[in-house]
Amino acid sequence: MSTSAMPDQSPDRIELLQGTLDMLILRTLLFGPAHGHQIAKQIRQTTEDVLQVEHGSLYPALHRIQRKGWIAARWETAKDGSRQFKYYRLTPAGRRRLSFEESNWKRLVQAIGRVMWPTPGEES
Amino acid sequence: MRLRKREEDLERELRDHLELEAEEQRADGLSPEDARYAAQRAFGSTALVAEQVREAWGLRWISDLFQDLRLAVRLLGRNRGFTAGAVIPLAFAIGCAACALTLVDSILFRSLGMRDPDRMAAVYAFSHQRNTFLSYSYPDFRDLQSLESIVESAAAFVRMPVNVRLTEGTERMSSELVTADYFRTAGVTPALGRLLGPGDQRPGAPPVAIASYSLWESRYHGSAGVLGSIAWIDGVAFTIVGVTPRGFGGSLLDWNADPSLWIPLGQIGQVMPSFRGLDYENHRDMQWLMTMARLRPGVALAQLQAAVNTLAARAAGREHVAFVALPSNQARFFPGHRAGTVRILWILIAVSVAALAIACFNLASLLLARAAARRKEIGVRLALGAGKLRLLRQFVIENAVLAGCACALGIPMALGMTGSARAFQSAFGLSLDLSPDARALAASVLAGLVTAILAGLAAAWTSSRVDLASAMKGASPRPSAGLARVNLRDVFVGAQVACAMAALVVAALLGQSLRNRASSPLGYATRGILVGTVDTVSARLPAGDREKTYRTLLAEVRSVTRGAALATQAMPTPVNTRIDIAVDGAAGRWTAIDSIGVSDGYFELLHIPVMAGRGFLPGDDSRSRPVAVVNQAAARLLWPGQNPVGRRLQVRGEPSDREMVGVVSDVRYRPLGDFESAPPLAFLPVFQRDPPEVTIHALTPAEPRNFIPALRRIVARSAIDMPLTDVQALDERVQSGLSQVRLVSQAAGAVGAVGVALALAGILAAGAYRVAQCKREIAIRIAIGAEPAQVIRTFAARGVVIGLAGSAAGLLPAAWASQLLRSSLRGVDAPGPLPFAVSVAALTVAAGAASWAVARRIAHVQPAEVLRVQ
Repeated sequence: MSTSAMPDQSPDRIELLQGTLDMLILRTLLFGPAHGHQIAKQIRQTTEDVLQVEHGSLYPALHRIQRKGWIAARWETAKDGSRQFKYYRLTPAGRRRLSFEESNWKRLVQAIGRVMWPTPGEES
Repeated sequence: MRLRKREEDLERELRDHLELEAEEQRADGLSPEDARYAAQRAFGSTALVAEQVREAWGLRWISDLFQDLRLAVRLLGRNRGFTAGAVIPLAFAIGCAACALTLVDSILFRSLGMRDPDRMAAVYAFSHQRNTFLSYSYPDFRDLQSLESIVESAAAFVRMPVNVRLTEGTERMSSELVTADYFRTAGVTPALGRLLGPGDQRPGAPPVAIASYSLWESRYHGSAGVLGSIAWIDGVAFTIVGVTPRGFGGSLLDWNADPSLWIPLGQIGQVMPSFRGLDYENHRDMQWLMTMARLRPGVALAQLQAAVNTLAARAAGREHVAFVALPSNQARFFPGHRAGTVRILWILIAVSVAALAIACFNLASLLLARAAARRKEIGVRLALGAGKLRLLRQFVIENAVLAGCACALGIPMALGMTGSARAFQSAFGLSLDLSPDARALAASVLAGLVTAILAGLAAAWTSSRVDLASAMKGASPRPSAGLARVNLRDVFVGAQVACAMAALVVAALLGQSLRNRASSPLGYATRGILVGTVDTVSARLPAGDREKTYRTLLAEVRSVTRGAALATQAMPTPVNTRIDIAVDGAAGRWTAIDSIGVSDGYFELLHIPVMAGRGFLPGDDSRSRPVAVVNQAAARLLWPGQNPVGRRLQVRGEPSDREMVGVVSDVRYRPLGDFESAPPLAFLPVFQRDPPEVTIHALTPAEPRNFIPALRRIVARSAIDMPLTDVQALDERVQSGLSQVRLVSQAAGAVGAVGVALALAGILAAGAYRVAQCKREIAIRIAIGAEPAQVIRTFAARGVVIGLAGSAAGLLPAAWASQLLRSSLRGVDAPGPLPFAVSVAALTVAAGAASWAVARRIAHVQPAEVLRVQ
């Protein structure tokens, strides 16, 4: 998986950590079914363009997660009825996976935070 | 296919994404063109994404496999010469192997259609005196039957040809005369009606017969009407009461055709009048029966052997005889015959292994050459990031495709060869089920695949050690293939030469033997003579009437031909016709010599010169005084240094002496015998022997075969119903006597020719390869002043060395094979040094010539050009 901020755009953008894309996708799908373009857009918008997913790299991740059974896909007509898209939705296994990854992520952030910004009381 | 659907889905999904993104960009005010471009840029490479998605599916290996397969097929299609060179020998080898294995399977392993064959055994007598296996006598069989604690049931039978008339026309069929428990012992159940039981053996029981499944199918079209229909067997009406199951053809494989009819042994007097007065049930000297026994469950063969040993000890008063119990899978053959047949099988297997080995070496050396030619391609692929494993896989797949083609070609070849193996079975008097054999085919295809994959791995291993940079430049790997270095390819080619050598020697030996046989004078004329045998047994003529019938027949044939004569059999004959004779009243001092009964005109018809006295006259018949003629060999044996004419000769069993009236020149009596060592032979007037059958010899005006219908008409016109069998031109008969040797000779010759062709092709390919590899070295040598001619000589010498070494290595297997042949085929001469010397010389010269032809390319090497490129 190659996820990277585009170097020729904003210097504020940061590279996505290995493995976090899966979590972001699962989290995005928590709001309801979405197709690939919507997911990409959603990630870009909610991170206020800081995290830029190269759109292409989204699809291998989607297919991989689907194979693991965390999401399911189906061709459905869009809400405006214009055409069909491949919609992805969370499966129960996907929900469990999301909460697992979320707690992992929290522990990781906390651990890194303790190193980077130690609270004075804890300093030995 | 699901995979395609998935691909379509993916393509649509990615296109949707790009379209949506482009729409959004357009909404932001970009031109459609720029919008599409921006969308694509944000997306990245569609192909790469698709590839990554496929990887996520975990199906990449499948698409890779397809890709490799496509590539392999394309590459092989482009190099047609290479493909043909690799596939055809392999297909040939697969065909050979399948054919040999089909024979092995049908001879040694295929079921004979009996229940629980593991419990079946057969017992033979063995004479220590004569060191040979014998058949069984009826009283001995009764003893075997009485071993009730060991033998559940036992049967005796005799297989013999009978003259049968079903609806019209009498024909000769194979039959078995069997005792009451035959079918119970074999454990077969009827396909229709009933089989024979004890009731059919009782004296006075109505004559009944069982038809074989194939007779039922071919002559009665599988209809139930067969039951109750009449088969006239040697003039007696037998009612058919049942049909044997499909696949059952008795327990013997080497007694000519499978039986078409089974008859109760109790009826033997009806079928063979000579048995009528015989008390065979009490004669232990009459050893004429085959046996089969079904052991009680849990009884071992050794127990049966122990029991028959006690039987033999009890019968010790007679000629010293032992009984030998054999398991049924060995008893398919008369014990003496099995070894010979199995040896032939060994030869066939050796031939097919040689063919497989040749194909393997051929493939390996072709693949190596190709790998060398593909160094550049491989280098490019490595540079583009192909993994070594992927390359290795590519090689294996290419080989699998090659092997697949070879199998596709080899299977029809195998079926064809098995078809021609039918000739083999009739030449050797076997009756085998040679229908396509799935086991044999599968095993040989597997052998072919393994061969191809092994060869491919060897080639791949060598070529995956490619040095990238030099390969890309198109340079040869420098030190590894010097002019003087022996490499793997040379060893492969040498091994091919060795295999070819063995096959060549065998072919040469057989060819020589065949020529010796064919050119050995017969001592009699065969041209224009047609022979055919009539059999009067079924006509049940009184003894005196036979002579009248024969005389009428002879007169009629003479009236439409340029001459005719009768004899008890046609020469050359494989049949034993020995009689015991004594000379000049020395009764009791019997000498066994071959004999033949002939009519007047016989010696003249066959141009057998009368050396002393006279031949036979029309007056030498049953009413005149008994006379005899011998050949020179017999004269030398019986009356050394004396004139036999006028002497007396007594034939054992005849009431009065015969007077010697003449001596004729020697003749080749046996099909595979030598004229030089002609056996002693006695000629007796055919009408003084009253034979149940005679062979008509007719000198026809033109092509003998054209006379066959006329001869049939004459025989059909005669008052009695006689079948005319074994009709053939005498020339053909002489030729067909050599058919065993010819068959094996042709097979070995074919393998030898293919082997030599492949070995030469291998030498050519190896030489071309080496010239290409060593261009640099050659260029340097020439540049610093070596004569091209000298370099060429160095090169060609290598071919000679390979040829010599290979053929020398082939000497041992060649000697082994020819020894094996000699011990298993009659008529094969002792292998002299000539075939070996000729084969070694031929192969060496051919190898040298091929090598020289390639080496001449060296003359075209331009040092400046070569050195600049490299």
